[in-house]
Amino acid sequence: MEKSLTIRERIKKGGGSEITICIAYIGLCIIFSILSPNFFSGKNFINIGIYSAIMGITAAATTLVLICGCIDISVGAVMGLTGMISALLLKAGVPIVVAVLIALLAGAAVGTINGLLVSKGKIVPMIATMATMSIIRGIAYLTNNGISIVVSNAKFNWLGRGYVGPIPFILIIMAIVYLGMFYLSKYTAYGRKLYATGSNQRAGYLAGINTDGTILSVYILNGVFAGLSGILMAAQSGAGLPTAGDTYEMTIISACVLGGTSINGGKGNVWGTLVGVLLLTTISNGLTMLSISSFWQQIIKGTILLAAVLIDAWRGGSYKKV
Amino acid sequence: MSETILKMQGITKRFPGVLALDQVTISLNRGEVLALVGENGAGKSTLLKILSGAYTKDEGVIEYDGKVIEGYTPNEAIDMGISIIYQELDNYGTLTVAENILVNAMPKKNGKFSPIDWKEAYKRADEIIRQITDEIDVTAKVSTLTAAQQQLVEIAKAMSRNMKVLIMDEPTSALNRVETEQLLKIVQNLAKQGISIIYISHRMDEIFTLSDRIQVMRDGKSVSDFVTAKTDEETIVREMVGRTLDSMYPHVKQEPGECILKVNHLTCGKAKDVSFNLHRGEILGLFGLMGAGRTSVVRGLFGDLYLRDGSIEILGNSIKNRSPKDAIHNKIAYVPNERKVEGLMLTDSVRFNISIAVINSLQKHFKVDKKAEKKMADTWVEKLGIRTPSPETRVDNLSGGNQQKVVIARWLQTSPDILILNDPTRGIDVGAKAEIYSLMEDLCRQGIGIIMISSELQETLSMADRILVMSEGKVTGEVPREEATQENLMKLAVGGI
Repeated sequence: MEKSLTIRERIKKGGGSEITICIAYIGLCIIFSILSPNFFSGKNFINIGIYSAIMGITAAATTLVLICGCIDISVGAVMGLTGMISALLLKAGVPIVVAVLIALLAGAAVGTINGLLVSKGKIVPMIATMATMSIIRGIAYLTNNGISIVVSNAKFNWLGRGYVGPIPFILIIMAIVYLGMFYLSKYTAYGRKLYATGSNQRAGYLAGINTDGTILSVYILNGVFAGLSGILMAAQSGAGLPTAGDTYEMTIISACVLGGTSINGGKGNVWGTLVGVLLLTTISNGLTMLSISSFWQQIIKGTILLAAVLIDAWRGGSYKKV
Repeated sequence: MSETILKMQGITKRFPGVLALDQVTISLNRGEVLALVGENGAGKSTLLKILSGAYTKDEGVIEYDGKVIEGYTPNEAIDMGISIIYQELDNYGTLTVAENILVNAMPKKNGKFSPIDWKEAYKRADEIIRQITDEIDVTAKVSTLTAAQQQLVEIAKAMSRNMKVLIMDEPTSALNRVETEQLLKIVQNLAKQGISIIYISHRMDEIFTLSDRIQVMRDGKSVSDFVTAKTDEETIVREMVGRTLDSMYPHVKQEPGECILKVNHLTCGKAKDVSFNLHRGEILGLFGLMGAGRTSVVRGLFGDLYLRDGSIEILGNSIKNRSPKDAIHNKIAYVPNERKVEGLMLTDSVRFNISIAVINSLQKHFKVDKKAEKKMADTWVEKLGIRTPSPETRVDNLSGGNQQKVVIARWLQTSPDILILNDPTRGIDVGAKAEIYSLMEDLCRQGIGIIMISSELQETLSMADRILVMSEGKVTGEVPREEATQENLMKLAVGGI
């Protein structure tokens, strides 16, 4: 009797959502493989990986923000900003390392502002980051009067397009980011504080956690990684676009939720998010191969998100403490 | 008069992996007050949720008013006359008393879709609530009422729907003595009017003043039932825990050790100019009515409230706690009164909750030492007798008493010199209470100084070596244990005349 309880708790703790989404992902791949002869190939999966990477890198950090009980919808705008900044600096002849570092710092700065607004300013995270989203997007446009900047620096472009042996460089970065975030969230004291803060901020504070500092740090982290995504996007597309990353925040949060991360905080896992990102990219990829219009793709993605959340709520509900 | 209105027979309820109720049988007569007692986790709440339609039973028969009833919703239960008032009130705080009372039956001017007839609504609500009290204005917002008044609104709501059976789940846990007495009178009046009442409480004095019969539950079974007039407290407690308790309050006054804490002119939150000392091995009771500022004192001490004035000395050194983190560093531990709100990460495991306050010290080379952490959790589970299937179980699956032990374990792991317990036995059962008292005794022997806030007079009188009484933010008296009586404490608590 005790044993069965532990297993159920393990399912309840989040493993369940991950298993569900993995099964859903495999099912989806099987369907696409049957419908489209070109889908099931190594090359196509590498393609899916490349398309997933930019969003995926930010999604890993956003998962930690959600675990901490907060939300950050300014990441798409940050991507636009850092893409523009790095492109501008490169055009001005600044060395790549410096350009990248300055762009990352800009991401960190936005994260700091978000974090301070939420922790010290006590503003609801959704509203605070909605405001900064609008401000940052505006600044991204202002950097070059709304005009995109072509970057023809081969070394910079390599960051987004290059290969190390048979593996795209961007996938290596994503792998490192996920391993790092996984380690941070699951093995360190910092990770515990994230979960504790998200689960019950007041209790965490009384247990000696600097909850304001934890929230601030997780926003900075998210700003930096959104910044990195923006830089990689500029490198991949060969241009800084002020519109880059538009609406990415919604896809990123969808991916986190699909992967079993709770919007209410205290629960989540970066591996679930990774599968969530892959799932959403695979749907785009597969549907495009089947020549289904992007309008339908949006409807299908929304439906899948709803279905995932409903299934999870239903499962959560049936396991609710009584 | 002894006509049976309700009979629940052979009720069984299984949750995955747990047999919550096992062939439970209870009956209720018209106009009777039945006290339902048992330790937390005995199945009282599950049984009542089945009765109120919130859960469905797996086996058994419910006979109500001469008919077998089955498969009804909570709303249908209320329509049949079965109302339940939960411990955590689920009212609409931002709406008026009248709206809360009439919820689904707000009178309309003409027809279903016409505007609400407010005049009529207030009149009707007023008529209902006047049957139990004159003190509540039906146009007031419920959130502006005291906890006691909110209880009365809930009762009025049930009355508005033709209640025959009223279930009350620990209605007095948030009330002070005066309010409790008023509520008990109201309940007695309802019973006189022929309404049958099932009353859950952990407070023996209430049970014995109020009830006609006592039904004891233990481990999901209905073990015995007594006519209240023909039994006594000891018998009931024995039946509840299934064993005899050694003396409930084990605390023996010791020679106090060195002065460990000196609080001078502390002013923060509601507390004004509070000064006191605490010695090693001593239990200092903080007594006062609700809102007297006791919680402000300990929160200030723990760095959770800004000190407008005053100073704190620990072992002769002046210290400043800017946050709980500093306080923990200064060897102060605080077990808050609202364990679900301020104490626990409810969806996390027992292990997680125990280790969180010392998580930094468990980290070596950027990695939490899981082995050491597991050992820590196992040790506390065994030492404090935390009843949990495993240290990996989520704390929201534990009973109140065991949850409280988890919070205490967390704080003992920080090896404090000063332990603050804010209402440590609130809402927990007799068995767990006794365990917590004996733990306090052990801690005193180890030289820890304890500050205890309690809303139970008996507990304060029996456990504290010295009692600091507060009223309206100020200390109105300090009474040594030998001189403390209910009367002089209450006198000081209401302002020290």
